[in-house]
Amino acid sequence: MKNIIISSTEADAGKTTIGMGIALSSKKKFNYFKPFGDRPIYKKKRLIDYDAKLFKNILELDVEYEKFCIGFDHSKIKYAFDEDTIKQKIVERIDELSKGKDGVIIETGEDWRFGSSVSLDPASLYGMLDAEIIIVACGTRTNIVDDLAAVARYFDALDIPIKGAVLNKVESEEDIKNFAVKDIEDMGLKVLGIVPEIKEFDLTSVEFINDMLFGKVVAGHTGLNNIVENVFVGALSVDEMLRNPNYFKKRKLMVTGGDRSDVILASLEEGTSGVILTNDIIPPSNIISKADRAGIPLIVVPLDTYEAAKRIERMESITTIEDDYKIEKIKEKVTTRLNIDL
Amino acid sequence: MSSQGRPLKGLFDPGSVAVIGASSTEGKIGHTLLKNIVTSGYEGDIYPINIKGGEAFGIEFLTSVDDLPDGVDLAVIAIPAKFVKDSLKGCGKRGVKHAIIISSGFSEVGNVEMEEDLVSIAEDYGMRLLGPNVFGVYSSTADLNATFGPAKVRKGNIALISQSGALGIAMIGMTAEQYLGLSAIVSVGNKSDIDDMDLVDHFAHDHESEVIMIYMEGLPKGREFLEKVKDMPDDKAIVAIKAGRSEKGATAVASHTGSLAGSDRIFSAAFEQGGILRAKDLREAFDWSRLISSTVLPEREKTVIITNGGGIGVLAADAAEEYGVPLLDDQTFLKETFSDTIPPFGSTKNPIDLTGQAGREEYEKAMRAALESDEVGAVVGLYCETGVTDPMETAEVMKTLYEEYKDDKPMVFTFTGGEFVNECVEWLRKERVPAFIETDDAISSMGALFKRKRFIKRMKDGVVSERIDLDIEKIEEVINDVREAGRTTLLEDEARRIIENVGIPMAEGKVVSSLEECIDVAEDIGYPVVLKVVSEDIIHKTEAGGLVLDLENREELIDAYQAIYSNCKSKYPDAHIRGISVAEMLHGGEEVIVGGTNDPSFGPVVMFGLGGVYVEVLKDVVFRVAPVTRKEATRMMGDINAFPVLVGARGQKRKDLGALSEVIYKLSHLMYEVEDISEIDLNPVKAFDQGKGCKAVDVAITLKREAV
Repeated sequence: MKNIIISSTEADAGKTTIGMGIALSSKKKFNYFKPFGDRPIYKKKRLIDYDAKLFKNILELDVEYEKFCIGFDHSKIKYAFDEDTIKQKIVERIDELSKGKDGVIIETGEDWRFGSSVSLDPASLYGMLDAEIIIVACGTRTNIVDDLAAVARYFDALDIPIKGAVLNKVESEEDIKNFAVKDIEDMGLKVLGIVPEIKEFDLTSVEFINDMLFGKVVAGHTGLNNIVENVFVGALSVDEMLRNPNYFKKRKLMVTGGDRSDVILASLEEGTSGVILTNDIIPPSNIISKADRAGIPLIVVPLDTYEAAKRIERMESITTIEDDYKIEKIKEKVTTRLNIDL
Repeated sequence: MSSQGRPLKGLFDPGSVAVIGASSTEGKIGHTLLKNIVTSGYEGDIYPINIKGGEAFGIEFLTSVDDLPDGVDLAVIAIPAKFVKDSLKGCGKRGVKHAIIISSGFSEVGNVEMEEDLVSIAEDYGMRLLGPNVFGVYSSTADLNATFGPAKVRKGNIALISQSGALGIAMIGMTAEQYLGLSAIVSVGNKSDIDDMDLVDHFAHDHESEVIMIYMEGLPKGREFLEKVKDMPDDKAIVAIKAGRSEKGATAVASHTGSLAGSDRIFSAAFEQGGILRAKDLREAFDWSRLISSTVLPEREKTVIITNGGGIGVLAADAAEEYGVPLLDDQTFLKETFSDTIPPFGSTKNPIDLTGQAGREEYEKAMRAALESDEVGAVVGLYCETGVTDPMETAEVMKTLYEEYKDDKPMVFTFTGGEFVNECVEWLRKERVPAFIETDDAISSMGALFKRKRFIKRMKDGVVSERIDLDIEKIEEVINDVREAGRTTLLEDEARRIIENVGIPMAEGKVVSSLEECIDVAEDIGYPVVLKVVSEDIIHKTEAGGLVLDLENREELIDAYQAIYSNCKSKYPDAHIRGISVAEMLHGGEEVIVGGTNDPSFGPVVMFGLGGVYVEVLKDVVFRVAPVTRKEATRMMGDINAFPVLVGARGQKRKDLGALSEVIYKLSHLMYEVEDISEIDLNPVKAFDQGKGCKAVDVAITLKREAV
C-alpha cells in the first residue's frame, strides 16, 4: 500500500497541484484524504473541501464528500476527538479509502506544522500510518533551501524519513538546478521534481470570484465560466480609461460602482470576462439587457470598490473542476517534471 | 438664531413706518419701497429717511434716524450693510420696536459677526428683527406693501412665507395674476431673529389668514416646527413647498434604516404627521391654497362629480382615486337623487353624466341636488366645451351655487376647452370661486382638503403619547460598557438586553464562544436553530457567509459553526469576531423591519416596512417622527405597499398587527427617550398569524459618536 503524505514548507505552496500531478502520472490508483479541510465550500448545510471535490471529480472517486475530511476548524477536532480517538478515526478512514486502491494521497493543512495540536500534522500522521512523506517547497532559491533545512532538521529530530521534496512555482528552473539542488541534497533530501510557475494557475473563473465575494449575479449568467486574467478598477472617467493600456488586456474583470453606467457600458464592448458592481447598486435595465446579450456577468456586491478589489487580489486561485484546461496544464507541466518512484 | 418670543403685531400692523434709505430716484430699492408703501393704501405715518434729504410722493425726507419721533412701530432699512448697525442703534434709541433689514451682505456672504452685532443691538433695545437679506413685508391688515416687489397684491386670506427672496418676490406677481388673495407675504432671509416658526405662530393666530403657504429649502428645527404646528387651530392649514427633493441627506451606512432614511422621505413623513400639506410645486401649492382658503372642510367622506362629458368624468374619477377623494357609490341613492336631473341617455353612476347638451338649468338642478343632500360631502362640477351650450352661463350658475353653499360644502369647478372657456375660469377666479382648467388640479386640491380633514379627525382621536416603562439605568449601564470599550456598535447580546428591557419580544438566543457551548445552547433552545457571527466589523452577515439558518441537528450545527468562522476570517481577516450567536429558528410569519434613526431636522424617527435581506432593494418603508402613538403605529403599517400581505392576501392568514404596532410604538419611544442611540434596526421582525404575536430575529444598535 502506497500512502503518501503531502505537506509543504508554507501555505499555498501547491500541495494539491503536486498531489494531482502524482496521481495523474502514476499507473497506480490513488484515493484522496485531507483530514484537516482548509478550503471549505458550504452548501446545503454541509461543509466540503474544494480540493477534495476536485480530486473526487478528476480521479472519479466513488466516495461521499464527507469522507474526505474530518474537520475544518481546531475547535471541531478538539470537540470530537482526543489523542486516542483521532488516531482511531484516521486509521479507520484510511482503511476505508484504501479499499480497491493502491494507496491514498493524504494532503495535510497549510504547512508542516499545521494541525500539530490536534495530531493532524504530517509527523503525527506518519506515526499513525504506513506512509511516505513528500514536502512541497516554493519561493526563491534561498528561502526554499532555508525552509527545507528547517523541515529536514525537524523530521530528523523525530527520526521520520522524508521521501523527498518537490520544488514548486519556481521562477527559473535553471537557477534552482544550479544553486539550490545540491544544498538540498546535502541535507539528505532527494529532489523529486522542479516545477515552474504556471501562469495559467493564477487564472480563475468569474463564478469562483462570485462565490468568494458572495455576490448576486444580475445579468450574463451564461458567462460565469469566463476566465479572468486581469483585474481593472474602473474608478476613473471613460476617457482616461480608454487611454490606459491595461484596460485593453483581454479577459479582464472590471470592478466599478454599480452607478457608473458609462464605465459598465464601455466594459461590455471590449474584452471583459465579468463586471463586479460595488456598493450594492444595481444598474439600469438597459445595461442588464446588454450584459445578458453579451454573455458578460454583472455581479453585485455590497462592498465598496476598494474593498472588492482588495479581496479579489487576495483570493487564491484554486483549480476548480470546470477548469479542464488547467488539468491539462498539470499533466503537461507537472507530471512530466516529477521523478517519484512509487 | 433663537426667537425672542415676543409677538409680531407691530411688524404686520404698524401704526407708523420709517423707511431708512428712501430715495427720490426711480429704479432704486429705496424708491420702490417708499412708492409701494404710499400707494398700497397704508394709512399710518410714513417717515422716509435719507442722509442727503430729498422728497418723493409729497413727503419730505428726514436726514437722520435721530429725527424720528418717539416710538415708531416699524423701520424698514435698505442701506449698504456697513451702515446698518448705526442706523439700527439709532432706531433703538428712538424706541422703534420692529425692524426689517432689506440690506444684504451679512451672514449669507460670511459676515456672521456683523449680523450678530445687529442681533445684539436689537436685544439691547427690545427690538424684533426680520432679515437681513429680505424683500420686506406685505400685510393686508394694515394695507401695507413694504416690499420692493410688485405693487399690485390682491387682498385675501393666504399668508405666504418664503425662504427665498427672489422666489418670494416672483410669487407676489404670480398670486396676483392668478387671483389669489394674500393676507401677508414675508421672506425670512438670514433669520437672525425672526424665523419661520415665529411667523407660523403669528399667522396661526391671525384672523386674516386661513392658509399659511410656506416655500422652504431647509428646516433645522423640524421637531420644534412640528410642535408649533400641532397647536394651530383647526380652521388653519399649512401648505408647504419643500425644495431639494433630490437632495441626498447625510446617511449612516451602519444600518438599513439609516441608509433608507433620505432627508426628503423624512420631511414628507414628518409633514404628513404634522398635518402639513406638502405640495410638489408652486402650482400645486397655489391650487390647494385656493381651495382651502375659500371653503369649508367636508363633513362626510363622499364626493359627487357632475359632468357634461363622460371622458372628463373618467379622468376625474381616476384622479379621485389617485388623490384619495372617495366617491359616493351608493347606486340606489345616486339613482334616486339624480335620475330626474339627467336625460334618459345620461348616467347616475358617479360621475353623474348630464351629457353634452346640459346647460345652466341642468347643471343647477343636478348640483343643487348634490349640495342639498346630507349624504354628499363634496361636489365637483366639470364642464367640457360644447358647441351647443354657453360656458359663461354655466359659470354663472356655478358662482351662484358656490356663494349659496360655500359655508356648507366644499366645491370645485373645472372648465375644459378653448380660449373662451379659459376666460370663464379667469372670471370665476376673479370672483373668488375655486375654478380650474385641469381636472387633475381640481381633484388634487380636493384631495388636499380631505387630507386636512382626516388629519384633524385623527388629532381629535387622541395625540397624547404615553411614556413607556424603560429601565433607563440598565440601558445606560449597557451603553456605558460599550463606550468604555471604545465602540459605538453594540454586540448582539448587548443590543438584546436593551430591546428586551423595552419589552420587545426577541427570538430566544445566546452568544457563545466555543463549539461546546454552541452545542449546549442549541440543544437547550431546541433545533432548528440559527447561527450568526457576532462582530462589530461585519455588518452584512449574509454577504459575509456569517449567517446560517435552519440547522436541524448537531452535525449540521458543527459544520455551520466551522463554516462561519472560515468564511468570516477569509472575507474579513481584520474583523474582531467576538463569538457566534445561537438563536431559535422561527418558521413562518412575514418579515418586516422596524428601525429608528436620527434626522438632522426632526431628531429621532421610526421606520416600518417590508423587511428581510431585500429591504434596501424594495424600499417599501414609511417613516414617522418619534415617538408615535399606538394608533399612529397602526397607521404606519397601513401605509406600506405590502400591507395587503399583512392583512392576509391570496389565502394567507392575517398577521398579528396589534403585536407589530406595539413593537413600533415601543421602539419609537426608545429612540426618543435614549438620546445616546443613533440607530436601531430590528430586521427582520417575524409577524405571525393573528394572536400569535411577533418576534425580532436580529437587532443592531449604534450609538451616537461622542463629540471630541
